[in-house]
Amino acid sequence: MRFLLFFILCLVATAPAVEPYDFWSDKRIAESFTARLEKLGYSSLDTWNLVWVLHEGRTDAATAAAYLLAQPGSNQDLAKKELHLELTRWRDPVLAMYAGGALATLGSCEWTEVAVARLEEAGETEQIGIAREMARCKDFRGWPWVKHHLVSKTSVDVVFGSALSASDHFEMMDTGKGRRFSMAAELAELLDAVAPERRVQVQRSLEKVQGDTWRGKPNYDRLPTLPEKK
Amino acid sequence: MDPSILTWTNGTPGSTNLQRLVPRSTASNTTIRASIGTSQAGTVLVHVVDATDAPSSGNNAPKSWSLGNSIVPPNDPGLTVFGGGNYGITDPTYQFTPHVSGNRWVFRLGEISHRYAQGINSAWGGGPVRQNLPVGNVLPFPIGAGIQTTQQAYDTARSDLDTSGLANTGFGPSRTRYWVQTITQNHETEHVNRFYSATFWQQEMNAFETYLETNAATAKDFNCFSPSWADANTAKSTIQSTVLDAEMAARHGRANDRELLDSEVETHRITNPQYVPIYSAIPNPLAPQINVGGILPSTVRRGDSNKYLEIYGLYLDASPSVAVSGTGVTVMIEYVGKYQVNVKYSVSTDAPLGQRTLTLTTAYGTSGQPITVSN
Repeated sequence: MRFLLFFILCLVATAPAVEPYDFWSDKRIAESFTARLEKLGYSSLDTWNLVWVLHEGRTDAATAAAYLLAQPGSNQDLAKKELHLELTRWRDPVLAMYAGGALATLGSCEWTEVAVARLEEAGETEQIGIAREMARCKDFRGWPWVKHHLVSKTSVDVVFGSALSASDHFEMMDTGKGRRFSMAAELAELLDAVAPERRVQVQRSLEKVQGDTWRGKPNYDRLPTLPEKK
Repeated sequence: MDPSILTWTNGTPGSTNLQRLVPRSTASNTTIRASIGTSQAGTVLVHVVDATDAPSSGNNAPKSWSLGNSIVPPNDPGLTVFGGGNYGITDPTYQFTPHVSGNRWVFRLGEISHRYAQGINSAWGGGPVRQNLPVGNVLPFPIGAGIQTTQQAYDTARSDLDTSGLANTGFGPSRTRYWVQTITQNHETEHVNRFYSATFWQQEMNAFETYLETNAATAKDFNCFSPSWADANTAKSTIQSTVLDAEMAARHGRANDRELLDSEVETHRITNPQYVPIYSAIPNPLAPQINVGGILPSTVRRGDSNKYLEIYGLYLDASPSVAVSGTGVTVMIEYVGKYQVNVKYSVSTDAPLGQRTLTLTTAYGTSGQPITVSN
């Protein structure tokens, strides 16, 4: 039976212990976005039509199109090109988050150069989301924003949780010149910085950092500092 | 000019013949005509609009949400639906009022409400019906579907509610024969808490309120000749059908799009730890019990090479493995009996001194006992 829910949040039944839940391969999400576009009157959802929806200007349709362009069966070369074009336009940070995530899913990561310059102007959950998708592209430069929301005493629990989820996507990354970004070092530093009631959650994330044994001071060459709010 | 030369059509006399009145008590369009003789005349169309001044704008309209429809999800233990028309769930409804400001219609939001669908199902995925296990150690222990013995029930329940390794994965425990109904419900409640939070849905609904009350797209000129904008109710209907319903759909969808990417990871992050005390309380009589027999010797020395430890206890023979915490002590099983396991060990000359834990793991669980490294 076709699963036609517009959007669904549900408890996932089975738990493969090592493979985390992947939003970008969840068939129920694809079905819900398909249903959304059909409800909005878009009947044919091949790659060319999805590209048209992506660029048309209606954000809630465009986010759905971005997601569907990253799914198996789309013309990937065309999808990458058009998603990158849309992201370059940066019409909306939510759409940018989806376009960036779709590109990361398709293995195309040039877009992070555009995104890193625009992070400051996004809302807090979009900053976190875009930084997370950048991390999926092995680009750690969104980390200062995620870290900011983890450390900030004014982050509400929902935002803190999203930042913590995003931090799961960061890992040890080469930063050039023989230096590296160490997620373990970052989380170890965060343990002392976050609110006491949140330390258990950071500790749990720290325990999950695999193969990154660095526990000293951050040893990346230079991490961008969070821009001052103007 | 002598006012008496004016002849009026429509309206009622004012205090002088230079003045003409139309009643303000009812909405009307009145064409007032003033004539001088038969050759000169002028007309003016007077609109009386049934509308009030707009109160001040702001994000102050009540915004509420509630369970609309209870559902039985066929394929998942729990399901919460926030829109899309399925299960009778649609976009939020909103009440608003039309007002006049200058020569324009303006609108003020009265309230927004939304109803979601939610339910849990102990027989999802075609069954079987899962046994509810709100407390891990109950007597008699409930026997799940297809399970033969109490020990199998314990083992299955432990496996079903095991959340180890699931941290930050976005998954809950497997729950093939056992579930904890309250935690499954808690999980769905967390979806509701998160979606309707100030970070997502409420933020978007505040944006909708601002749009409705202040955006140029909703400030329409009064026009008595237009069938769409001639009176308050028509203007309200027109702005809703042409602008506001689409904006609400977009805002509601945007709340979803912003919230959705982290949703499962975040809600499981909150509810998975709730399984731990129940899981831990499930009896495990076949787990190794070193504590009844102990370890001999319980102190090992730096430089010991290929010596023997003897571990005594119960239920030791179900595929045991052994380990010592820390560095510098290596262990290897040499003999396995029902009540005894012999271990060959070596201690490096620079092994850190002090107490360690010797852990014996079998197919049924793990047990640890202290062991000391000395000079």
